[in-house]
Amino acid sequence: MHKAIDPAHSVNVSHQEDFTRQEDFTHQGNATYLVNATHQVNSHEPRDFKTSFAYLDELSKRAIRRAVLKAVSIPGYQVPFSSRELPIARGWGTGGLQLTLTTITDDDTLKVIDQGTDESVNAVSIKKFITQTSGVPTTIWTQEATIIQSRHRIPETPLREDQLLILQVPLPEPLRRYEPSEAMTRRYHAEGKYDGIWTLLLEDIIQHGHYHTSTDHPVLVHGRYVMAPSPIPRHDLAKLHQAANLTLFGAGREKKIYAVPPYTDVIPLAFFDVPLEHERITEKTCRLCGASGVYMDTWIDPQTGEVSYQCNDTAFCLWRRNHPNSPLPQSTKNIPSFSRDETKRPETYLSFTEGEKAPSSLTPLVRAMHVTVRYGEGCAHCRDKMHRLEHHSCPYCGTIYALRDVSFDLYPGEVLGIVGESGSGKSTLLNALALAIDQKNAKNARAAIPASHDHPHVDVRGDIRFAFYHGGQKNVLRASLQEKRRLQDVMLGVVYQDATQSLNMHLSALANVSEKLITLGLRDVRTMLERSKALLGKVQIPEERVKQPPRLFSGGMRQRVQIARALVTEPPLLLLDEVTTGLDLTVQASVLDLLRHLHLSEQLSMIIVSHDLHVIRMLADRTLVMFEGQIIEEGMTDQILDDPQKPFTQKLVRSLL
Amino acid sequence: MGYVATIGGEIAIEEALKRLTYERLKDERSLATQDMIAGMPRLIDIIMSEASLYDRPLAAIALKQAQGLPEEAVFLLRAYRSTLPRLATTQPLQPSSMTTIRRISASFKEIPGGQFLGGTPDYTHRLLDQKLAEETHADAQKFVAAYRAQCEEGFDPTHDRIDTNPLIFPEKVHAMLPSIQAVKKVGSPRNAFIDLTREPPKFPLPRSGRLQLLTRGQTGAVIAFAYALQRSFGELHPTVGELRVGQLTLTVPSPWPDETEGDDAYTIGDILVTEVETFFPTANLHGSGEKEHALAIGYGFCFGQNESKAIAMSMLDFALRHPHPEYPSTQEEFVLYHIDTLEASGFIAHLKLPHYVTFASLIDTLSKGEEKGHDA
Repeated sequence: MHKAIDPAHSVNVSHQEDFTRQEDFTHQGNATYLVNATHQVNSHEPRDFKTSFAYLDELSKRAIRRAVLKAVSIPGYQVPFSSRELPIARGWGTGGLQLTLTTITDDDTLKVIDQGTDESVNAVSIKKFITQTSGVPTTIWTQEATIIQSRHRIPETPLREDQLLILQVPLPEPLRRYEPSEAMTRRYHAEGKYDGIWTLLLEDIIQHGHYHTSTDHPVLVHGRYVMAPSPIPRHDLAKLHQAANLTLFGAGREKKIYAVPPYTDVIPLAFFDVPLEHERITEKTCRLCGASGVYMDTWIDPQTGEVSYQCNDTAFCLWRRNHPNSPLPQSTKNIPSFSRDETKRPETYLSFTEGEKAPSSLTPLVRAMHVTVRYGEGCAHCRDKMHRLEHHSCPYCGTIYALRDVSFDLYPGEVLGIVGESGSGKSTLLNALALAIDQKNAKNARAAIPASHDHPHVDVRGDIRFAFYHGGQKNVLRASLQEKRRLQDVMLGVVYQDATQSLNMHLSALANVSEKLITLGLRDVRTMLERSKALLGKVQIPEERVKQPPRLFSGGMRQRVQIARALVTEPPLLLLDEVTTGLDLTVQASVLDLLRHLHLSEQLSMIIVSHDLHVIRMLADRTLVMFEGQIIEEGMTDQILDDPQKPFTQKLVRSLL
Repeated sequence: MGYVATIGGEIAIEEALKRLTYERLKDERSLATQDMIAGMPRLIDIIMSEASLYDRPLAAIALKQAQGLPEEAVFLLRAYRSTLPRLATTQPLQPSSMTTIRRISASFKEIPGGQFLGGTPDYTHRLLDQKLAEETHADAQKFVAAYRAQCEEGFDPTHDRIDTNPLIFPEKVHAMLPSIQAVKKVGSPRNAFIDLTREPPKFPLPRSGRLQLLTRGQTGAVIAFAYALQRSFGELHPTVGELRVGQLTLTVPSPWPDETEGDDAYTIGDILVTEVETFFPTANLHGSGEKEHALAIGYGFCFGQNESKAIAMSMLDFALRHPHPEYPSTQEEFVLYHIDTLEASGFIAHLKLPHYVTFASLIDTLSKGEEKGHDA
């Protein structure tokens, strides 16, 4: 519109000119565009400054276009991009606007809508900015536009292959509600681990009887990435599935671009037996054009107060009023849903269980060999296990040994007790078996070393084999992070002293237990809730409390919910860390009774850590005694407790009496 | 003729713009930008720092256009910056070569080169000086003439004459430390230098990325997060090793390097900056609970003279290297995602946009719950 041809300078910045090689920065048509920085009514001369075609400099546009190409190549994947600051505020559509500015050309016709209408103040403001800086014509008719930038709506008129839809996105991360850390959510996407978001949907159903997401319901894009479709209503979700057009999503503040290319599957996450429904407002009839099956605004007559409805897509409504015989769009009748095969866990998910033979009682279920956990690099002195340490740590290099050269076996159906005083390495051993010690999960390192210490270096060495991991042929400590997480999710039941380590205190007990079933691949609400309720009943959680979050539960109840959660996938191994510590005696007795009963009835293999010798005597077949990170005595439990050989064990047993 | 679209939105925006300009000018006075540069240097400093754009005249225009609202002024400058290509990268700055106007240490009384108070309100009594309402340009000229004359004479016989030679302190206070206690080495940011105005941030960030986001963070937010660390949500009480304010000269390498002449660089100007190094006690734990004490350094640096922000930044620099699950200000994503002026104020302000569609969908979800009851 305010097009001024100034071919001499593609970039006109006087105080930087000396350092420009102008030819490096040539761009489209060599034209520059003027922006009125102040309004016409200003009594001063308007201060215009010159910009490239469509505002952004060409190098920035190139960077953004590369992100777009990547996004189109990996449907639904959020591509980080270096989001530029624009004259429109963050949160007001800067992501969408950057996409429009970098994809628009002289041949385009632009339509901008905000919440369904072309005349919304923000749509007008964005449209004006784009035309001022590019000179591209605009339209309100969806069918005439080549680029449509929209906030929170997809037009009712079906889009064609030659049209580009750009949606503005406030919060691009569908997992954010489950996990606040960006580093973690990126890892979950990489691993395709979406149990968290399914669990939140299940919790909605547990608490409200239906999905509580309203707009921005998460979708699975072509069977791979879970994506936030931006806050479009549920009614619009069907328009993304197998659409003929390319849809680009831009989140300027969060610096992400993603895409749904033409003819891509876009399926909202929904359980088989609880389908996602359109907003009921789509069942109304438009008072102006008579349409129904489209998204409506509520209209209240200012005189009579009478409530009626009109199309939210105002251009669509206007077109219909001028062309009364135009047909209603057909594509949006049903929200697409998964067939049962599509959500089945891929065969590769638990590929490491291949080669598993029927565990015989002669093959150890767990074989730990020379397991060492140390904080620090170690040195020539302390790496030799024959050399003495001073209270866990090397007198020469200061490396702390939480475990030093620990070896043992566990046979199927056996219960192994681990005893020792505080700091002897019992819990570290259990955490090593639970694959919970690594650089990223430095929880234990923090407990061992003051918080002011710079990045404690945790080193887990040795060899741990599980019969259910590659048939006991591979060292599980060398497994990938992803394999470790899958083992934790499905094969290892872990119960901690502190229930917050395994339970989500803000989700219901029912959802906490069912989450594991979701991980297993179940997508049937009724089956999942039945199984979880049955198990919670078995651990004596009263039925009227299963919808409550564990933060409202007593310590004993929390432990029982943890046990239910650990058992629901029927894991081959249960790891228990001081599960009765801190509970009063009657509660202790009920938890122990439960465990003993489970052991007897299910032949469960367990490793149980406790400083309480009563617990060990009651549950453990065999017992290890630990002292300063090493096993100093092992044998049958009765033998250890009744006839201890080592002075420390004698002291430990005597202190009991 | 048929039905036509309403254009209410467009007219409303036009009129709102007119009204905005009217509200800026309705007293029929226009503030000269050179008066703003002269009279409000610290506010200009804040704007430039948060905008990541060092240009006093442009910052003054932005502030004038924004009617004095800092977040709006920063917004204008950042948006302007997006129209410009990156033409060159300056050579690394050496703050030890700073032409100092102020330099203090809270760690040692005697430091190499000495302390130099400069102009600071730190020890003034904050009594509102109502005479300033009457101050004129003539008063200003008179004061400046008298002060310059005093400087010529030397103002205190017991002190050295204040001269106009540049004050340069090549030695940093931290150089005094190794003789006293061990200083913990921090990985050099040089190896992993990233520019977050050109590359997207990927967490966890290298230290260079964290320092960039901290230095352009909103002054109030940076100070608030650091204060939380100091007060109760953290256990930090650093000692300011050295705070220096002064001019640094920027140079860029020649785009046409001359191989025969070696390093060919152009001076492109000076910037006023604040630099802070704070010392934090830390410890290495050895066997049997024995601790080896050490000091770590937190680093703060920002455009202009903004001492609280620079000190706060140095605290956050240290805290982010020592994450603690209980203290939000030690968590990288919590701090760095939320301190940017533009992102925070923009997303808050977007709540003013219409949410008619999303709200209708929300109402639909809520009323469905009422109808069905709460059966799972």
